[in-house]
Amino acid sequence: MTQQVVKVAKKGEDAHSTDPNDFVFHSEYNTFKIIKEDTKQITLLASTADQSFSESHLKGFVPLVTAFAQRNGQSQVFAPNSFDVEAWGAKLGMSGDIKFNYVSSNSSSIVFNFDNNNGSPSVVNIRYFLLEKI
Amino acid sequence: MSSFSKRIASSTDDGYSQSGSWYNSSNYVFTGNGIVSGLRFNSVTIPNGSIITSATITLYFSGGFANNQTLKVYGIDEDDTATFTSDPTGRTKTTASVDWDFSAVSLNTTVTSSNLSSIVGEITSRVGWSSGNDLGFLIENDGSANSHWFDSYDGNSATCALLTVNYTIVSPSSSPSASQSPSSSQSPSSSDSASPSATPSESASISLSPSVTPSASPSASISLSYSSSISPSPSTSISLSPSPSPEPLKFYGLKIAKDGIDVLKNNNPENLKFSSDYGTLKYFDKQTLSVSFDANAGDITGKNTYTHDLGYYPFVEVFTRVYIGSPSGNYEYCPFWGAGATIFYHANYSITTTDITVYGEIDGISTSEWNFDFLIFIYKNDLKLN
Repeated sequence: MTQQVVKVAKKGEDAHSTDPNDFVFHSEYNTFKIIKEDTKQITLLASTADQSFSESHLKGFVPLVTAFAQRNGQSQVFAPNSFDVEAWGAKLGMSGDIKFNYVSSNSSSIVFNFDNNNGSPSVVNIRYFLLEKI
Repeated sequence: MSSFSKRIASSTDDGYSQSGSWYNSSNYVFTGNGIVSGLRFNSVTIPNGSIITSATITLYFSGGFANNQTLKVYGIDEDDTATFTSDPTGRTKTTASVDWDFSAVSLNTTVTSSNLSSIVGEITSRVGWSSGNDLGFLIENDGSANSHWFDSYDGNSATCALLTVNYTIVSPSSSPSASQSPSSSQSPSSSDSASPSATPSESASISLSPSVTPSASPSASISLSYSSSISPSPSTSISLSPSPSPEPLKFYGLKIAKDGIDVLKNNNPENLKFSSDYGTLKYFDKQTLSVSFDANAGDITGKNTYTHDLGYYPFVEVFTRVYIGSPSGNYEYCPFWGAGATIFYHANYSITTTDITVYGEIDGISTSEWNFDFLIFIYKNDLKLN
């Protein structure tokens, strides 16, 4: 039985190339499939660190997950582990008081963790992506 | 075309979860605010891999509360789901879901769901699905302000939930494929001229098969650039489009299974290298940016900006290396922080609808010039924030 592949070369590249970087798609390599993508809006308690918010996914496996967060009304979007947002303060327009500490997942839920050092509650919008089983 | 129709057949095959409790012996199945309903249909005699052309659930209202409902239906993503003796709402749900919205039902009338074929198809195409297995649904609230009552098996076994499925049996030998598509035009011939892959262990099997999603446009088409993996065989282009079909709800998807997986019987994304049922990250551009500042001059921060001008917040991945003097060190996933004997250093980035700004900062004692190199991978996936 012959073995066949499906390859889609990048514009200007040779479809016979053996370098996977020359391809937009190559069936010998897995692609990250977006199993689930959604938004979540949370309200951070005032002056409280280590706030976790859980979102159920019920996939039954631990997915690779990534997320981006934006404080309501602000123009910048941040990735997780942006622990230093506080230090940037006004430079990032985040009022120097919110930290997007991490996003994690288990077989049923995603957890988003923030600090809010502001004296008032803060609304944060999140978009998250589940990218296959870890 | 074949049909399957069956009602709930057991007291523990329907019920609802409310406030953390599971109720399966009520005369009613509730839907709506604060409620997740469960319906299980046993002995569903649909062969594995069948094309589901339509699937509906019908509920009957004989009394109780009736209110407008905004619901979302999921399947239970299991080969042969067990009866609902205990709360099933934690079971794994299908990727497919279908909105089911309706106005309050008049007394002694029925309401029929939207087309649930994508849900049923996802379950009946599981590797472990066999004709005669049991199939379950979860109905979640999706914005209803109040609840609605419907007859359960305990209330009236003749008017409890009814599942109706229309389907077409697909045998592997007659299934459309890359070389057997009903309307493929191939120039020159493809499968005959294809050469063996150099690495059989990394081979993939390919199927272009009718999808089970009936809402797609009948005019959908696929273009593939196809080539053998060994030169000098010329690359071949295949254009596939649906033939004029009396069943206008079909469309053709593309699945590529991992080695050893039957692509015709598997929809589990873990077993597929590619599936048109799922989105992917759309790589768009790679950029490099650098940030430098001289701590000896009193500077402890720096930033730099790349203008993407996409007009929306793009999905971005950033890698950074930090060094003093000549370029060195490993790229790390950004944001990150590091530490020296007397210093902390941080790298971060932010995204706007026009720019990506990268930042470097130190915190501590230093008299050196600091350098941050950033590799920025930009995808055209819209974060749709704001």
